[in-house]
Order: sequence, then structure tokens, then C-alpha cells
Amino acid sequence: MKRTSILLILVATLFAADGVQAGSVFSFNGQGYPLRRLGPRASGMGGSGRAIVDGLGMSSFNPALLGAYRRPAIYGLFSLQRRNVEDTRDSRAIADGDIHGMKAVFPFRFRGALTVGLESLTDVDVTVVDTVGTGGEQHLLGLKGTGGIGALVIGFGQKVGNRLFLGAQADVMVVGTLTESWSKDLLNEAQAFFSLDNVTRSQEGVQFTLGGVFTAGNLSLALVGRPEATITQNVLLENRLTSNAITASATETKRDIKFPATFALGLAYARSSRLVTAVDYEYAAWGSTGPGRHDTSEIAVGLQYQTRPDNPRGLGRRYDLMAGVYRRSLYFATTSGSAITEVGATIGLGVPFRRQAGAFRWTLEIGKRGDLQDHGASETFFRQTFSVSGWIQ
Amino acid sequence: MQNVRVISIILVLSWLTTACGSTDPSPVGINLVDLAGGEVVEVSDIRPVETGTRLRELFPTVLGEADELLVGRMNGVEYVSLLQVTLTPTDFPGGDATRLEVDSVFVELKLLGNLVRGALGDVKVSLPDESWSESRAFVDTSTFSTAAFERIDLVDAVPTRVDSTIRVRLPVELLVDAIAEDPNEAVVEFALSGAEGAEFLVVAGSRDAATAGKVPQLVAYYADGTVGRTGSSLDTYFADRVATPSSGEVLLQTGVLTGATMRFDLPTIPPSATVNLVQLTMDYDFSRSFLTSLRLRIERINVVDGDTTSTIVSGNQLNEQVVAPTSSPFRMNLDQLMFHGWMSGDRDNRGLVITPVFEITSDLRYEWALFTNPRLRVVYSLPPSIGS
Repeated sequence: MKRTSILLILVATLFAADGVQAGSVFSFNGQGYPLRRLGPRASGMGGSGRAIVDGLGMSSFNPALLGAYRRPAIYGLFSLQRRNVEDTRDSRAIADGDIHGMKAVFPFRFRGALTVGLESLTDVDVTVVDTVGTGGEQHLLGLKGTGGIGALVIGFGQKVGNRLFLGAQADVMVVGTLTESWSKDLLNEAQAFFSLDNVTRSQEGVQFTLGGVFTAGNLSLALVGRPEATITQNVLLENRLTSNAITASATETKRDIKFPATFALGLAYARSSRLVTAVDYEYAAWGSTGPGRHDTSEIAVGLQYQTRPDNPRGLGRRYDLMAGVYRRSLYFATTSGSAITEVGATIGLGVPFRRQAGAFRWTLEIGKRGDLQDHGASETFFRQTFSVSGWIQ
Repeated sequence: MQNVRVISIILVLSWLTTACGSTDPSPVGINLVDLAGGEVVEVSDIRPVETGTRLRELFPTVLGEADELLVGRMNGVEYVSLLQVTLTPTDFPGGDATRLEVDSVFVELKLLGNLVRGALGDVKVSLPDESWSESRAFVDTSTFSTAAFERIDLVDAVPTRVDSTIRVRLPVELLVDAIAEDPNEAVVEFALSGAEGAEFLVVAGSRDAATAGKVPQLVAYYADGTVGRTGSSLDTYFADRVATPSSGEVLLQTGVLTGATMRFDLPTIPPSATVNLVQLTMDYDFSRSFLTSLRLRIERINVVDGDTTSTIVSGNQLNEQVVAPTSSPFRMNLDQLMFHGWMSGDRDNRGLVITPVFEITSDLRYEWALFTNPRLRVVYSLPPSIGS
């Protein structure tokens, strides 16, 4: 009864945000806004946790975490976001939400585990309206960008000896499209035919991730590397005439896009089984993937504290309390030349199901992206993440 | 149960705090986007590399029931009015034609709506050399070409105009011979048209004119100082094409169904570009036009294996539009799809033809518009870039 209620509430929540996506005003740039691909716990810990090998880590940032799994598990993650976008003229509140990932983990007898899932790697969700040009060329330019690059994630992790965990992961980018819809409506002409151009980008390619965690007592150290990958992007360009089958002038081209080489370090310290702290750093060479782009870095610090089952409030069950902060830069090319930064703070709550069947986790994240003076816009965001992870009995 | 309550409260609060807002266009501008949406390009003053006149066909349009008569010569078309006046003894002073000596004879045309185009020039008076009636078609309806109507040129007369009356002197012999043939029913027939070299048009009332006092009258002056006036008993008019319009002129005309062909040297665009606007501008020659409105059909000219045809490109209403120019320059938009085909290289640019659509209406008449100096303005948008 209780699980059914939770499920119904979750479904209702999904419908409440139907048709919208969690994005950023900066997302229509290059391959889109890069998602951090965090699992339920890492979301609450500010994005840290590459070195926490306790068989609960669902994040895709280190496949070596899979080596700690002992039981099959699944999870799904949904986020809702309210962001206040501000530019030099106006400001507006935008609400959006999306499912960011679903994964399953299947451990083997020999202390290894396989994971399969679908995840969003990038997200595009932006609508722009602007008046462009002068005289007879003056027009209202509209842009709606949606979608994102997704991947079929296949990973494997293995515990080697007593202290070492190793893993590999392939992000097979065969799902998800980036869709742009450009409209141009002449402002000074009464009978003009407006333009409507649709660009649909689909991808084919794979990027691999290799990771390892070494544990020494209460301390563990993670090292993750991701070689640069070249992905084939298929671009279909259609206008109103082709969309309405009036002309056959749709053009389809293939081009290469690059996902950057990435290097990450993680450090975790478990003072006891109830208190875990972690700090992570990631560097990605986005600058080599396109003109004007910036190499990016991210640092995240977080902790998780488990309440006792017999806690003073008498709630009768163990809860996970999480908190974290992070700061990262984004790769987008900007007119000012300075990189866009994103800072955020998170808190989270994990509520386990009965009989160790899994957990519901809720995370609240507050942050800010961009600078109004440097980047022409900035946004503050208020994001909540809901996830359900469960053990397959 | 308590856990469910806690989770429920969290989710409800989430709804209230997060799902508020909108998905309307965000206020940010295009500067945040590193892809370009494609340039919008305006190309003005594109001159035609070819213009021509296409005579489609003639229509036996105006029968004798029309309110008006056209007399004149304009844009290579001679407008010929045929009149017949039957004089009975009551039309002659004293009632006996044989006792009168005809001094002079005039025909008076009453202008409708004060309609005179151009400078009033000489009027050619001719004698119909074959029988005619108000229901006669002056066009070969099987070939839509002019059917020869024999006339004997009599004289080029200088008309005079007083207010809305145009007076043309006729040869005295017209009436004298008619009286001699039958003094009790003297029938005078003649034709009026613009003399060669003239460029004018007069629109006068016919015997069916709805407005009182607008019927053409034969005015006879006799040697004894008496005057007789008799209205026409039969009248009609027709148009005879005698020359092509001058080069560079765009004549769009019904009746003598005349269209115009044009071909422009257009800029090239990528196939995925969109032509947003094609505007044709022409100078409207009001003094040489006679027009209330024209329904125009604009078609693409195709040449296949030496055969020239024309087709409507699409269902766009711009391909058949009603124009009523009231000022100059006159502007009309054209179907951008036709131009997209040419500019993208999808079609050979053989030009377009603009043809008036002749509509059978109760107030049927010839109408035309004369334009000069055609030029195009084209606005097109390039597709968005796919790079970055």
C-alpha cells in the first residue's frame, strides 16, 4: 500500500511537469548543456562521490563503483527545476523538469557487476525571441531548441583483491536528438512568407570511461579517465517547403563532433559507517573540441550522515542526510571570452524502504550560472531531484 | 504510514515551489546562442532582362446592351463605336425631310463619369461596309482572333468638348443620302474611332445608358435655321488591335486579352533557403489606363522541347489576385514559391506571364492598365548554420 502510494505520487509529479525539460539558458550552445550524470546520493552530496565504494553509488562518473555491488539494483531519477533567467532587458521565471536517467546493475558471483541504462549526456532547452536586422530585412527571429544527446550506458566494474576496484564504461550515443526550430518573420511586410527551418541532429558514436578506486583503511582514492571521442552527427535541415512536401530541398549532412578527454580524481573518507565525506575534482579538455570553447573544471565537496535507527526523534528508521557544494565551469563559447561558471549547494534526504528494499531520495539544489555583465544573461536555479532506487529481490 | 506522509508533504511542497513559472519564450536574445539562424537578405531594384506583351486572344465581349461606348485609340488598340440613327418624319422640322436642305450634321456623345483618357485627338469617321447588329461578335469565336469588319474611312474630324459633351462633325452626305434613300425612315450609319496617331479614349453613354440624357444624338442643322435631334437607335462598340505596345510597357488588358511577360535576372540561393517576399513594383500610367480593377493570373513560363506553356505554381492566392491601382508606383506581391524554384536552380528561369482573367459580369467592358518600369524586390532568408 505504502509503495503504491509513493509510486502514484511520483507519477503525478511527473505529469505535473509534463512536456518540459530541465535546462539552462546557456544550453543552446555546441552539444548542449553537459549534465553531470549523478546518481541519487551524489546529487545530494554536491556531485562528489567518485571514491565511495559501498555498493550504493549509481553515478556514471566512475564505473569502478560497480565492483562494490552485491545485489542487483535499479534506479530512476527525475528532476524539477525553477530558474529565474535575467538578461539586460528583462527577467523571467521558467519551470521545467525531466527524467535524466534509468539504470540497472547486475552483480556477478565473481565480485563484478554489469550496468545497463539510458542516460542524458547533454540537454538543450531554450527559447529565444529577438528582433534582428533593419529596414526590409528586419525580422522577428525565433528559436526553440529542445532535446539532448543521450546514451545507452553499458558498464562493468570488478573488485580486484581487497583494495582495488576497476571499471570500464561505454556511452553508446545512439539515442536522443538535438532539435532546433528557427523562425523568421519579416516585421515590415504584411504578406511575407515566414521562414521556419528545422534542424535535427542525431548522433552515432561511443565514448569510453575507465576508472579505478583504491581503498586504504577509511580512505579511498579514485582516478577516472575518459579519452576524447569523435562522434558522427547526422544533421537534417528542413524548411517549410520540405516539411510540407512542396520541394525536395531537405539537406542531410554528416559531421564530426568531439566529446572531450576528461580526467577526474576523487577522495573519500569514512569516519564511521554513518559519516562519509568526499571531495572530487574533474578536468575536461573542451577547448580542443571547438573554436572558442573553454576547458572546464569542477570541484565538489559533500558528506552523508546516517541517522541511527533509534534516533532521538523516534522516527524508527535510518535516514540519509546529505549535503554538498560545488563549482564548475562550462565549455560554452562566449562573446566576452570568459567561461561561464556554475556554483551550487545541495542538501538531500534519503528514506529507505522497509526490508532494505531500496530508498527514496530527495535533493534540493540552489545555484547560479553565468554573469549578467560578462555573458549577457545569468540564471539562478532551484532544482529538486527525486529518485527511487531499489534492490531487485 | 508516517513515511508516506512525510514523502507526500515533500512532494506537494515541491510542486508548489518548483512547478510554478512558465515555458514562454525566455527574455534572452540571440547573443547567447553560438549558432546563427541564417541571414535575411533583401535585394532591391532587380530589373527585368526581358519584357514582352502576350496577346492571348480576343473575346466577343461587349454586345449592344452595354451602358457605354468607347471611342478612341490607345496602347495599340482602336476602339470603334458603331452607331445607327433612324430618322422618321417626326424627327425632321416640319415633318417632311424632302423639303429640308441639310447644312451640317454632328454627333454628340455624352461622357460617362467625365471619362476621357489622354488628350482628345482626331476622331476617324468611317462607314460600315457590311451589316452589323448589337449582338454581333467582332471576334472569330473559334480562333479568338479579330474578325475583319469592313469600314470605309470617310474623314478625320476634330472633336470639340463642352463640359461633358463631345461633338464630332459628320459628313453631310451621310444624312443626305439616307433621306434620299427613304425620307420616311432615313437610316444613318457610321463608325467613330480614334484617328491614326491619336492616343486617347472617350467613354460615352450608349442608347442603353442608365443615366438620363446620356444617349448619343445625331444633330442636324438645316439651311432654314431649324435643328433636329435624334437619339441612336442601335449602337455598340468593339476593339481592334492594330499595334503592339511599346517596348518596356506592361499592358494588362481584358477584352483584347493582353498579358505581359517578364524575366528577371535573380540572385541564386541555396535550395534550403526560403524566399520570404517577392514584390513587383511598376509605375502606373493613369492617363493611359482605363480600369476599375483587374483580376490577374500569374503563371510560370515553361519551355519543354520547344513548346512554351505556362502554369500556376501553387494554390497561393497571390497567383490570382485582384488589383485596383489608384496611385503610382503600384506594388503587388508575387508567389515566393515560383521564385524559390528559379533562385534555387530547381527550375529554369523562363520568366513569368501576367494575364488578366476576363470575368463575365453584368457591367462587362474592356479594361486595361498600363505600367512601365517594372522592378523587383526580393527578401529571402538563408538556412541556419549547422556548424559549431
